[in-house]
Amino acid sequence: MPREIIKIPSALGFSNVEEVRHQITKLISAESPQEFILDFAEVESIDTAGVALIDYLNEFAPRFGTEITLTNVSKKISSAMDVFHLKKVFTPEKKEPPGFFEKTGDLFYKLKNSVGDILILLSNITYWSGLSIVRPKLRRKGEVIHQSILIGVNAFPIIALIAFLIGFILALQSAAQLRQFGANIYVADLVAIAMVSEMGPLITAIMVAGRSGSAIAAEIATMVVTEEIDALKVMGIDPAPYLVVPKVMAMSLVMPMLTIFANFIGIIGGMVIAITYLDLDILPFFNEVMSVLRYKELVTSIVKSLTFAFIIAVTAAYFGQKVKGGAEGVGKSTTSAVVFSIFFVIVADSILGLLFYFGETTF
Amino acid sequence: MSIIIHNISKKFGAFTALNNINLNIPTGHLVALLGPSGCGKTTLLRIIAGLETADTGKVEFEGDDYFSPVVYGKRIGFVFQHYALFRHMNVFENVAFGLRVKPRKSRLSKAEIKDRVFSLLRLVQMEHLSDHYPGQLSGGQRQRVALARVLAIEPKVLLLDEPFGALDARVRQELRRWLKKLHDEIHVTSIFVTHDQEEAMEVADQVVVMNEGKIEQVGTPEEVYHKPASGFVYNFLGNVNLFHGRIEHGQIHIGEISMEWPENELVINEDSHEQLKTATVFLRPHLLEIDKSPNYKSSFRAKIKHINAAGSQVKIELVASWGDSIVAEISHERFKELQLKKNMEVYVSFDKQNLFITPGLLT
Repeated sequence: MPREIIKIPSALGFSNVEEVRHQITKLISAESPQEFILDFAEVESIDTAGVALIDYLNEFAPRFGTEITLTNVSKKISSAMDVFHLKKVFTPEKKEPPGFFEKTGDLFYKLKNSVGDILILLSNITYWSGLSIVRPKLRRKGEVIHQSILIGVNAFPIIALIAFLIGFILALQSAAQLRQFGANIYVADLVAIAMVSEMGPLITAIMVAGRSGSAIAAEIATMVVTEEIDALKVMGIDPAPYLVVPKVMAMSLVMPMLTIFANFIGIIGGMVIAITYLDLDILPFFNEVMSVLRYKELVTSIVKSLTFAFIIAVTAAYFGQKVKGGAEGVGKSTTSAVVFSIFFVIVADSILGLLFYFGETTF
Repeated sequence: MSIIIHNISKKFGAFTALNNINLNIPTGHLVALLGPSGCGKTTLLRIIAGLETADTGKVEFEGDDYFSPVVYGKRIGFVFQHYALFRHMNVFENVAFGLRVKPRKSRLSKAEIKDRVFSLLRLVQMEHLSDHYPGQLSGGQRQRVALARVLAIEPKVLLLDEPFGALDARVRQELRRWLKKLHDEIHVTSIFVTHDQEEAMEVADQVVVMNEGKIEQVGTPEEVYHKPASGFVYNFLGNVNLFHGRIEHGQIHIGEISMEWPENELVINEDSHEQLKTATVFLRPHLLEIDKSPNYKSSFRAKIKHINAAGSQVKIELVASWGDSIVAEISHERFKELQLKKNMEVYVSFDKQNLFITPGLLT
């Protein structure tokens, strides 16, 4: 609408200014006309509050692309307007930017809600996972296998490639150093231990978080946005066991396998360097690897991969169900899911690394 | 199954979505919740469905207190605005879903499920597309599948959230009639949310008009249209001309027209200054008459601004002599007879009985 006219009542003042203001701002915000005319033909008296209203409107209207015009203003009124020129009365006080304590408090307040949500999700997942292990009837037929194929089998080639390159690089970088001391054979020790207890689980987790964590978050978020989750709920189906539990189970099943596979390929990557660059033979390299790897490294590898699997699945499910807004929200929650699951994976990796390292020395 | 809603209130942060709602929906009725966007109608529906929890109050289903956050096991059919079909399932699987996920004891046999699904698909005229995926269907077809999916579980209550909101006008009209017919056949208690007054008037037995979290009026379509309880209801249920009038000495002044204040039925705030007594006057466009000369009724001068002769009636936009813009609708015969043209000066008249007047300013 290009233009809007409103009549100002005959006395514009303290008693009715709020009512008039409400009426005008509602019109402007709803229709955002180009020009908004205030007809003062009937106005006989105005007080400071009335003048302040005009000042306020002059600041309010441009936000909606509207220009305020006054018409039929009598001399008496216009002189009254000139007398009081109160620009500041209605403009809200500028808020001070939140201080350190306010920010911290706010952060924790928000965190409180998230922690609650995560705990509910965790308890749901644990309860339903446990129950569906005991009672296979509760499981959706074929769903765990289907998810395992998506998460595990399809990730095989990319994880193999990355693990190979990581092993390759590890060997290459350490070879340059170890060579100076003639300690070529220790490349095998280094690659084996680094791969099995650290790089294997970590690289697999990061790849899976990027591939499947994002996919899980996107799937659940899309279902929330399109109200499919609500549709499930009204049909009497709890989305946690129906959607999330099979994914958690599949992830926990597949991640250790992928990790062991990555360890193996990584060591082979190191072996390539050892053979071509360090003039080692396959057999001594292999013997060295076997002698240095003990049950502890394997346990570390498996425990880590299981932990990471759980972290990735739960983080993805959490960010998926938390989606706000439409298609844009799906993208955001997917990104958050990946970023946070990688973050939590690395934090968990450090903690587990410390535990296993000091666990061994004290016991 | 009848639904009784007691004192339901719901806040989202500082925003009051529902304010003390009381409503009784008898068995077998088709009730429309009608209101502008943001009036809380969808929230109310979601609370009835159990997808949202109310802050206070409760929903009872035929005496059975029903106030659980999630509706597992309840036979409620919920149709979503954006269909919420499961994208990875075809039409048949979508409809069969509710039957397949039932616990084994109460589940039908495969053949029975197939029969049931096909009879439902026949009902919604989607039989020939049973192996299509939702992505391959048009909006109207998807919504019909969604209805079939909901009907498959033999709901005792059917809730529809703006079911035809995302469809084009023709399909909408068709589905509206179809829904009415369907309801006449199966007679399940149904509530549907809409912001389209025409839709509510055409389909529902009973219309609940809501505004800003409150119920404005409950009644049959005739009642709410002909005996609106408030200016809001009158305004919302059709096109209106809205005038702001002043009340002085038992008379209403709108621009240059003065009329007797119709009895003293409307209470005006006695404290307010005599001059500030205002009233809002509504009048439907088809109740306005246009003449080339003044007549015995209350008439005023106006200038024709725009003429739209497409449609069953001729829409004429006018500017009253005091600046308000007015819309009038006259028949084509009358339009030809008067030979109206743009920028013509005409006289507009109306019957005082047809006015709807509320005290105070309303926009």
